[in-house]
Amino acid sequence: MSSEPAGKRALLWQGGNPSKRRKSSSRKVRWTRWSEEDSKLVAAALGAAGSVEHPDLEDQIAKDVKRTFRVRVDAALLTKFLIASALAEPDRGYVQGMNYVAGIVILVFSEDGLDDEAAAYATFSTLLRRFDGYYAPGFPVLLRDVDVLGSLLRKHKRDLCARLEACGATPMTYAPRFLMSLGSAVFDANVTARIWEPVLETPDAGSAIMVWVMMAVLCLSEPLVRRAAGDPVDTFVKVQDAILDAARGVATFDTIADAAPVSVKLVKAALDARNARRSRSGTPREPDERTPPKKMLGSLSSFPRTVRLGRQLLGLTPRSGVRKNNNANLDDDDENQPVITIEIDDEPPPPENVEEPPVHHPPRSGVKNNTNLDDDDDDDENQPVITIEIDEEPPPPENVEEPPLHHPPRSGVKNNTNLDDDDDENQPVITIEIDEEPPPPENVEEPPLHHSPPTTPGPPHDDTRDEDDKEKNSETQEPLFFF
Amino acid sequence: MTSSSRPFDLQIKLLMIGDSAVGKTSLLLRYANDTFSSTFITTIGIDFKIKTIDLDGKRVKLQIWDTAGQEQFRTITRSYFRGAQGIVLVYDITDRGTFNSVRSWMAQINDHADAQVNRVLIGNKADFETARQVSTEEGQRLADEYGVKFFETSAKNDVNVTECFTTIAREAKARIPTDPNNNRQGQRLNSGRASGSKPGCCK
Repeated sequence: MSSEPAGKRALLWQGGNPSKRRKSSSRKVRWTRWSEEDSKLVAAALGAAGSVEHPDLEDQIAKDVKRTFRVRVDAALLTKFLIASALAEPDRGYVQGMNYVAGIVILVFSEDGLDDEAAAYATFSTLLRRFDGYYAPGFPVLLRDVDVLGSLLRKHKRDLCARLEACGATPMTYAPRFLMSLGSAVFDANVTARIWEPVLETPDAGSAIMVWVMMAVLCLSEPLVRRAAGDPVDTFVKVQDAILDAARGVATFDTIADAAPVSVKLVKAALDARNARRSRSGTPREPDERTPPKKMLGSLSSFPRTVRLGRQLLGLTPRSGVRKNNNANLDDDDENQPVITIEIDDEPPPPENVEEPPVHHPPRSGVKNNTNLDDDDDDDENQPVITIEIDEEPPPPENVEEPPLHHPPRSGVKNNTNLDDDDDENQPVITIEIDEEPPPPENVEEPPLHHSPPTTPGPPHDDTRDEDDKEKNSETQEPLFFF
Repeated sequence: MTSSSRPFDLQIKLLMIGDSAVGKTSLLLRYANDTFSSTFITTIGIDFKIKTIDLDGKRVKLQIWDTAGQEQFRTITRSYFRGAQGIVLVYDITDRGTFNSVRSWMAQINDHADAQVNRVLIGNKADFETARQVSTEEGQRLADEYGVKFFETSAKNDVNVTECFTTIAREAKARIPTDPNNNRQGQRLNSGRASGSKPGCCK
């Protein structure tokens, strides 16, 4: 399912050819495509796992394999993956949290018979690589992310942040479990798998995506947190439970995207800024510090395929509704500056577009960008837009404006509790759905409350999805809620 | 938990530590929820539970922090030590390695916990006698060496679970004045909880 001519992509955009959807709807296929692991390394790692004795490692892993999720995961394979990855990175070894990650990868690849163990391992390994510093000794990146999460909250969700911290619920108390399991210890497996798509597709954005997801969950938990905060007694534990409940209640990735108070791009900029600040110890960040973003771009462009998605993601921003709450905060950020740089760079890559469709997101980015970017400078506003167009090339200007519509359908999806189905697999492909049924414009404006999305019955796409649905259904029958 | 709305006299923060898979979470779930399942899940980061008990005529609310046991997690687990008034250190009587780690955990407590923190040593999985690798005497001896109470427990069969938590709570309580003026001190463990817990910024 490699390249599709731009023309076809445009068709998808406009609501055409549903059969295309099936092509891109297999998560397995997409994951495999994004894996960066060299097949020789994979073979070597898997081979080592079976051939050498590592009593201590095996002992620890054996304990955890038994208690990774409550659904059936191939224990022998899980063990093999964990041992292989631990041996491949001796300095890191095996760290709890990785068991959940491998478990989900195996579940996805096992959906209809595990046909390609090496591909599954490569995906797992690529995911870990995206989060090197989450598991490295001392968890340096994890600690940084927790810290940046705190700053972002303080800045963009002041009230919520104050409530959380007033009862002692600092990011360090609730974030590690989300981050170290890459979401899998709390979200439904389908939601987790969906979150990992952009992570796999976009080198360098793993932390930004996870922190962004965490912020969205906190926003979703806000009503519960407020209620808990009214109770002077058990506030702390109730708040912790509220956050977990909010995460467990997430039915689709859209719920997260709708709830996120800031864009992934903004989070990424904040993380980069933190890095820059650290490396230049003490030097205050100035407008001229655009180096970090450039560096990131460099790495992005070395993965042409992923560039587009990277852009989309970095442009991914919250719905206008959500925004309302935050307007106050938005004005300031210095954090946006770096962003600017990023986009500039992005422009060049267009050539790849021709290859494939992944790009359906852009529309959203377009929309969102418009909304958010109020944050600051004109640059921001324009840039995001620019990005969009680049990606989509084909779509006429109007497209840029319609995107909002796309959301509604999704929100509808959420209502269906199972939902994961729809989105997980399709989202990337989202475009498709959009096309089929022109969602009512009004929806666009309500988004704020993720919980109460417009009740849109299942997408009309059924036809196409039948196959997918079957797979999904099988998953759904065995609920993947882990707690 | 409607019982939580009853007034309480004191709030105590307890921390559970010990090697991976010794049964910390199982003990806590047995104690707080009176449940046991052999399919517990690895704790990543930290988990929390509340249990309110009547202790010698006082209503005491225990806030129990359940940590991840894997050694690599110690960098983050350490950050949870501060403010704990009682620490429940658990090992697995069927796994000598976890018993051998007790000294290292005690050193962690020394380094990172509040100086006067109360401690209790627990040998869990006492129901699994046939797999025992650490004798009761050894456990007791080590506990004596550190001057702490010792229990062998079974989360599975609910043996000694309540006793160990009650013991550590009683010790901590004895150390913490319960008059209203000092009550807040207990709460403060949660780090800065304001008395009304209503930061003025609500909309």
